[in-house]
Amino acid sequence: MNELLVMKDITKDFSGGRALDNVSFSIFKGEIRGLIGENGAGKTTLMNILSGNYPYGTYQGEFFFSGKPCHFVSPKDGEKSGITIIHQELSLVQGMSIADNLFLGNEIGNRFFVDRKKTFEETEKILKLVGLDESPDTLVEELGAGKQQLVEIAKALSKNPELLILDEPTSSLGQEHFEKLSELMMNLKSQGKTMIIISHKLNEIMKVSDRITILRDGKIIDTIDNLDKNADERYLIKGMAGHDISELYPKKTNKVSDEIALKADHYEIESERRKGALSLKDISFVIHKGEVVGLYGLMASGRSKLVKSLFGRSNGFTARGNVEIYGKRVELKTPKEAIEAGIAYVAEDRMKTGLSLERNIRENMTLPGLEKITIRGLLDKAEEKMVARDNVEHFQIKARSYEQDVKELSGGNQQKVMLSQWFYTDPKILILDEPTKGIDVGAKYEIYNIINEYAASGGAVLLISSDMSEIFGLSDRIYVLSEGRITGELDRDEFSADKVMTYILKEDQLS
Amino acid sequence: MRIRAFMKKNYLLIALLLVTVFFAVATKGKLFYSGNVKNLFLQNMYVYILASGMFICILTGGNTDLSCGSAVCLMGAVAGRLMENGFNGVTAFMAMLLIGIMIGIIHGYLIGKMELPSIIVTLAGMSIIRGIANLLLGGYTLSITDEVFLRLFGLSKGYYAVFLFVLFSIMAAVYISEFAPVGKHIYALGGNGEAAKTSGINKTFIVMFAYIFMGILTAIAAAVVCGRTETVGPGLGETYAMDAIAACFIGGTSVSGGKGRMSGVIIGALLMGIINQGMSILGLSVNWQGVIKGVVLVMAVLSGYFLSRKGRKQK
Repeated sequence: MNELLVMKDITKDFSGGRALDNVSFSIFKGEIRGLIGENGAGKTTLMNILSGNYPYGTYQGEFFFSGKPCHFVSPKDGEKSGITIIHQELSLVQGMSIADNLFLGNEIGNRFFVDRKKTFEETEKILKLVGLDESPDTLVEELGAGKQQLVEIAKALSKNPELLILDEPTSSLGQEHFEKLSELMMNLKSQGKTMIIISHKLNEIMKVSDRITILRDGKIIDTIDNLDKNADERYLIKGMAGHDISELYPKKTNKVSDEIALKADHYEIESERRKGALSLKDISFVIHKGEVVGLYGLMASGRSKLVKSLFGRSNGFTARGNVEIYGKRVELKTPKEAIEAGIAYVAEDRMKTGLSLERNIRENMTLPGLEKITIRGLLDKAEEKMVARDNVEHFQIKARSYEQDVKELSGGNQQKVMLSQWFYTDPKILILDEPTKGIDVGAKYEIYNIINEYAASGGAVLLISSDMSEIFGLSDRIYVLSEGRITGELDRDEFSADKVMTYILKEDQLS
Repeated sequence: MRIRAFMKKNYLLIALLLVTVFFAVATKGKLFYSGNVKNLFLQNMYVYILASGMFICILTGGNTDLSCGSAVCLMGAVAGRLMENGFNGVTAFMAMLLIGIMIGIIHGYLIGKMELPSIIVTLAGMSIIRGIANLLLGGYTLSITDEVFLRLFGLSKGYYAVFLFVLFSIMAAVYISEFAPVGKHIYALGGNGEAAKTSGINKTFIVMFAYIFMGILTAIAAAVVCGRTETVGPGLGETYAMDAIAACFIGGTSVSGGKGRMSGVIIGALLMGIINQGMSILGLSVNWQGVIKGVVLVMAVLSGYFLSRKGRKQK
């Protein structure tokens, strides 16, 4: 097998320290290589060097593509040589058409005019290739997250790359989209394309890669064969974390009491698009004191809408039905009322809705519970500091001090800040929306511990996650949500992926 | 449902129609006298020109140019002084263009390269440029008598070359926004700056391009205004930035950039023109005109907000 890419002794220093330390490895033509590692292991830095984002000269060492040394100055150079990267965050312009997005920066035509007809034809060809059945002039904002991902891949393919790098391609997508993606990757592989896939989701990496390279602290730990798709998961985790993590999920220590913490009875939410229609209907469920309840559903099942609505954020669409907290009927119209009633909602997107990124840990820590440290309209600064110090210690948040800006923290530590700010409101019911999205194995485990501890101390948890194994690992009971209805309920001893999927499909057959 | 979709698609035209009908009735039909219809275009030529340039600037990411009115005054003053001293009209116009390009380069560099907020940069520019213009004018109003200049830009000599300049400005903006590769980059930069960057789009270049374009159109607008009034005075152009920005936003251009079309801007400019014209016929004072224009601007943006999906969604 011949090598398409050879990297030799790549070292990259940042002001904060060494990100890559003498990294050498090679990729063979036509393979799919998985690249795994915790946050800060150097995966993204490596890819930035490969794609030309970090220009030649800002790092030491050299790499060769198709035998030629590469001295890229900008991503354009990388693309010209045949290396294209699909970034972690969707990098599409929402208000532009698929066709315009595909050829953004590489418009078809001459210097003065864009050739619309040809752009359309080319777009149609590529869309067919990725299996997306949409007109080229559809605006990207009209597509769902899964389809946008396909557009993103189509955009990369429009540059006709030899090596395609996928950086966390499914971080914002559900399981169902991964199936499509892996099919597409196999398809591309059979056409002779070489790919590197970076992901936190080990099961996905193991399913598609031919070889898996583990990166830790800027060094290559190992590259193992996965041609038969049966790599040892434990070995991979150990390689990433540097030490043995015996269990993926901590042992459950909570006791479920008979007392009902949260009860929803025939809850329904009106559709915001069509007047009179319901986007969530007939939702009835209970969460007991000391219980972790998982809520599993596909991306558009309405799970986030449901919990946001419970949290008093039903503005824009009306909700009806009975909600009780510890036997008391409540009508929560604003998040403030919900917080006062004892609900905490740890939002899915910590960047956008969770944290005030430009502020420091101390100020973020008491944000939802600000009233607790307010005396006659003034902030008790001493108390604020104490709360921050205690929480940083208790939740083992890794930061220089509590005065550090939240945006400088790693994803896992940001998540911990978010959890601790909500714990400070003394919630009786904790709603977690994707609490471990985009964070590494070590930090995940710590967050699982925090969730378990909270449940053991008598809290009630409603957990949303796209990661089915995470739901299984943490929950005492699961509700399956499909197309705006609860279609099934499973106790811990009956957890299985098959059963969940049957419940999800059940709704399809009904309608 | 259908009515809503129709309204959403055509709310600009409907607004235009409503405003026209309102003023037609309020002025007892005087709005449609041939003299007034003619004035509707002649007096507002600068709005079309400046709005075309402003539109391109706003598209790059909500970047406006507050200084364009002051620039019109400065350019007029420079041209007026040059012609006073025996230079011909073409040279004077070249000087205006040169000033426009220079202002564009400075604004574009500070906003695109140094990433300063456009509102600060052009607000400072507005003050600086107005100051220089007033120094040049020394409190006097200059008259323009140069034959060549008035033939090119004026209306009194029986030549109407000036329309070509208006047409050129509008067509240039249409070409950039609809047909040119650089237009795609402008929309992308305003729509998603990060995505534009990863697609290899040079932000500095695009923003410089937009402001230089704005500078050139400002020079054309200045020439057109001076040619029509045949004078340059200290207060010249004070409301121009407001008119041009309002035309863009009324015309549906997104406040944060990346969205909007020239067709909307033209309707927006037309709307501003009818409001201007209607109010002068009614004999409202300039002060009242300002009040009403401001209210119309807010109402236009509000109605666009409610008619778009965003207004109803409120996540």
